[in-house]
Amino acid sequence: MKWNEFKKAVKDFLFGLFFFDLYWETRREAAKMKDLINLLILGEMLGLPLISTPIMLKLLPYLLPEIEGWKFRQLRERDVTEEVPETI
Amino acid sequence: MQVGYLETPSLWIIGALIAYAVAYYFYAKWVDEHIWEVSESRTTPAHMYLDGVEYFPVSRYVLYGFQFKSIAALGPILGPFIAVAYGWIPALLWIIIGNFFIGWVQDYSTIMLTARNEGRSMGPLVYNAIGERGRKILLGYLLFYLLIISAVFIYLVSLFWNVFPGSFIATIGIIITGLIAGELLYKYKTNIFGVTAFAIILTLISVGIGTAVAWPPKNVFGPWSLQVWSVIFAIILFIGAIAPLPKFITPMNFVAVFPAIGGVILIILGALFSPLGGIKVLQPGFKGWYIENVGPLFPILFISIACGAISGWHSLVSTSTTGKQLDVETDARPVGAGAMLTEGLLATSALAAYMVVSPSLIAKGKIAAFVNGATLLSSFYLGGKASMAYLSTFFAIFLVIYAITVQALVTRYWRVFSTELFKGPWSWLGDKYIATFVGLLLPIIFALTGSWINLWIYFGGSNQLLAGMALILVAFYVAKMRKPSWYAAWPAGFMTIVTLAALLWETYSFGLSTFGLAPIKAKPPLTQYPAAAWSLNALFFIIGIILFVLGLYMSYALWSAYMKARKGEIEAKEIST
Repeated sequence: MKWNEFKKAVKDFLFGLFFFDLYWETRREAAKMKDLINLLILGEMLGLPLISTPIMLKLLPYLLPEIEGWKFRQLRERDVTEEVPETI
Repeated sequence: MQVGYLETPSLWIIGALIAYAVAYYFYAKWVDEHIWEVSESRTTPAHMYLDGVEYFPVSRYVLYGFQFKSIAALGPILGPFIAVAYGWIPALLWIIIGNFFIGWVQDYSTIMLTARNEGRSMGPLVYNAIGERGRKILLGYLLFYLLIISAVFIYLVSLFWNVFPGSFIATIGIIITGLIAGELLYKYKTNIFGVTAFAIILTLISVGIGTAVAWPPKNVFGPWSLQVWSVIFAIILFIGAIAPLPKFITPMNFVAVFPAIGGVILIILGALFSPLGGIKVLQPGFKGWYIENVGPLFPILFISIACGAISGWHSLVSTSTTGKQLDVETDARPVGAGAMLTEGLLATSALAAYMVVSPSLIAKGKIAAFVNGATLLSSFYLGGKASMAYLSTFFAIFLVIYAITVQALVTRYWRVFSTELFKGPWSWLGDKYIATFVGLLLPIIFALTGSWINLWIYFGGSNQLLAGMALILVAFYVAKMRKPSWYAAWPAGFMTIVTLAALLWETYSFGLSTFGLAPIKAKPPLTQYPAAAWSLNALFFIIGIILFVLGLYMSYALWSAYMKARKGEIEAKEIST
């Protein structure tokens, strides 16, 4: 292993040890908020009378990149064992 | 003062390191290449379902650090305390052999199971193997398991706060640090490195204040001190469980990881360099096959050191998180096997902390033995006697911090779990506040007995049985792949027998107390109330029966499925090879 690769490995390891949990949890929280916004704005498509269609159409271009991930998260079958705490 | 290597724990730690290296570079490599036939070109769920939230590829070094941080908690540190009651040689042998043949096998293989099964977690994997009934029984088993875990950790934190003056003040300091860090990070978007430096400094100051103040003294609330502390802890946990994650648990756990990992490093270094400090092994190598108040060496030894040798909880972590972020299959060995074997090193070092304390401390069942041992192991290279008071508070805090972070997550998970499990007329039990309240009240009642060794044996037994189940599941899927499954099946058989025997033993001993054939298992002040003490013994007797029956059913169902898979009666349809 070259010196630069070694430095990168140590940096990655320390990130995993100390920061990855916080990083991932923040990502998950952000995704939850985004999913909520998606539901509020695009809910009409799903039959939920939440917001007027013109606003939805205006915001649609901004939300388009999110739709695939949102759909995946909503349709994926979840199991309670996925939520286990990462540490004992 | 220098002493010979043979008189110190150092040589045994180095021996264990060599064994773990052999396990990693030969055994694990062989399994990796010849059984799972890992390939960098096979797509992992992280790429297959890339969503940037649950599924995303992560570098092997990041994942290794994360996996180690996740699995290296109180299990490998406290478990050896009970095991060393039989002498340090049986404890050391079990840690090494357990890691070599069983521990890494489970962690690595469950990561591979998830990677090869479209990122499925334990519940769906069990469902695929033995159907919906099996999955429901697994959930029922987990329900009792969570209660036992909570009882163990609530009791331990209360005990630490009671025994170590100043540890409560230091803990509150660290919790406040976590809350401030959370606000700085999420509300004021402060730079992460600045917040980290701030958090580390405040944590060290909190420990310093705790050491200087050394208040409140032991038994500050009289004979019911432990119970009062457990209620105080429950209030903190209740707030943590109902508050939004970024407000409480996430930042607190972020802050707590620094002293926790710092403590781990101090113990490992101390154990490795103990000859330089002249620290000798004081514990006898072997004390006997049967120890009063603990039980027979077989099966109790194998379940007392839980996470340090093998832990069922790791299978849940590996299938629910790590397996979904594997970049390439070839990363499974460094992440799964590597992290588990490193945890083996931690367990061996924790054992070293018990090896160097006076035998009377262990004989009296004083958990303070760890703090004494860890202080002794690290003070010689951190300032000698002058640093002992600070280090003693630090290691007490180290235990409390680990227990609090685990328990905050477990209480929150209990709430999520209750919502999932209790449906229909029982749905009120899944309510946010009621579920949290029940999830704290029951463990507090369990902890009333004051006998944490008994609680730990139930915890270890159910945890290790979960490992046995995970290993049978691995053997089942490997058999479906038409590959040699012995490497998982033999450890699975061993763990199933040992853990069911341990649960049976503990149920039997509570049964004896319940039916008046042995003294009631309780400590003062509960002993003043014989009816309450008897009721708790009877309750533990019933819980033991439930855990045993659920575990037996799950093991039987999984073994039956495995035997069918071996005979080729089940199609290899779910496995993509």
